[in-house]
This record gives sequence, structure tokens and C-alpha cells, in this order.
Amino acid sequence: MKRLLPSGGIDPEQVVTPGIFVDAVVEVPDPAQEEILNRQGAFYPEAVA
Amino acid sequence: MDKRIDSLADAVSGIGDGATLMIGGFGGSGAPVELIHALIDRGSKDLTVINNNAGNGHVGLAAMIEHGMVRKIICSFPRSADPRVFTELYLAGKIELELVPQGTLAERIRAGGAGIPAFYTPTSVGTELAEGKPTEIFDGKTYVRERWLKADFALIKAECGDPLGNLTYRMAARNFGPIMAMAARHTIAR
Repeated sequence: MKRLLPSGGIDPEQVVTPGIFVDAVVEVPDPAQEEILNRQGAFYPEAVA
Repeated sequence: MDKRIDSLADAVSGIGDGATLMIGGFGGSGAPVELIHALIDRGSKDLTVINNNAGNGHVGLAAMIEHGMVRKIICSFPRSADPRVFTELYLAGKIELELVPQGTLAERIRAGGAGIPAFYTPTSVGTELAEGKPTEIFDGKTYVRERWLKADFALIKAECGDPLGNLTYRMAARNFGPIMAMAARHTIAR
């Protein structure tokens, strides 16, 4: 997720996916957007052939 | 239980060859690009991927397909904005496609998470997509039986999370995230 908050940091009424359905969380503060990468002509990790 | 993982590489380290993956996203909205790229770095092969689309351009899911990691894709709309990678491999017979109407795709995933092995829908009756599937008539209307979808792993994009794994999403980026989290044995959110 973009922001990893401390336990209790999300208002329970705002939780969409309860933690029981999630096994691992990794914070990515500045997430990439696929459309922007594509407009830049990006490849990952590099062009094939 | 603290579910925080420091690196993307560690988060996808358990995804081995032959795994079935649900990947969130409607086009780029909600696509967990960084997790997909970490998986490309890991190099898992022979994967079955469940996503709404079949990748755009040469990043994210398209890059996974381009690098020969995906054996089969289950999706509703493979002809999206720039699906050249999928299209070329599909026409060359190098990737298998299971085409699923979008509402049926969402409900198959939801059914997987809710423990419902099969359900009936009128969508696809009388088309190629219904061939070989059982049908039944309810109140004079024909319905096709569709099976649930489950996965070994789900990769999803969230807006906020906490160490317990509770998640919120940003606007429409929510799309398939909540149902994929329920339908997969192991869900990784970034």
C-alpha cells in the first residue's frame, strides 16, 4: 500500500478488506501507474530480443 | 500478528513455478506494478494468471507475459489499450486464454472467496463461451453453470494498510482487490 499506518491507524468503519484475508503487506510510498509508464515507452526490465 | 514485509522481493519469494495468481487491476487502475516487477525479477514460470485484462505495453502483466512466465491467462478483456505482447504470443499459440465475461469473472472470484463451488448465470448462454458447460432452466430461462475461481496467491494494490493487513483502496483502484484477497490462499498487498 501507499501508506502503512500503525495498528489502529485505520478507522474500522473505513476498512474495506479485513486483515484476516491478507497475509503480507509491503509499503510502496510512490507507486507507479501503468498508463504513465506506457506513455513513457517503458519496458521492464528491458526490451526482449 | 505483524504482516509487514520489508522488501517486494521477500513478499513474492514464495511464488513458485506453476502457481495460480490473481492480480488486481482494471487496466492500470489498481494494478500492483511493483509486485509484478518483483515477480519478474524472481523469474517464476508456468504461471496461471487471473486478471481483468492481459497487460498493456511492456510493463506489469504485459512484461510478465513477454518474459514467458505465463502459461495461461484467465481474463475478460484481452484486447485493451495496447495488448500487443499478449496478442503476438496468443496468435503464435504460446499462451492459453480462458475468456470470461467480466461480471462472470468477478462472481467466479467472489464465489471462490465465499466458498460457493458453482453458480448459475444467463450470461454466455448460446455462445461459444457456454460450450461444454452444464445448463439448467429456471422459471423458463436458461442459465449456464459457472465454477468458482481460487488462486494460490493474490497480488493487490491498496491505498492504506496496517500491520494486521487491514486495507483501504483509492477510489476505482479498489476494483477486484477485495474479492481476490478472499479467493486466494495467500494475499500480498502493496
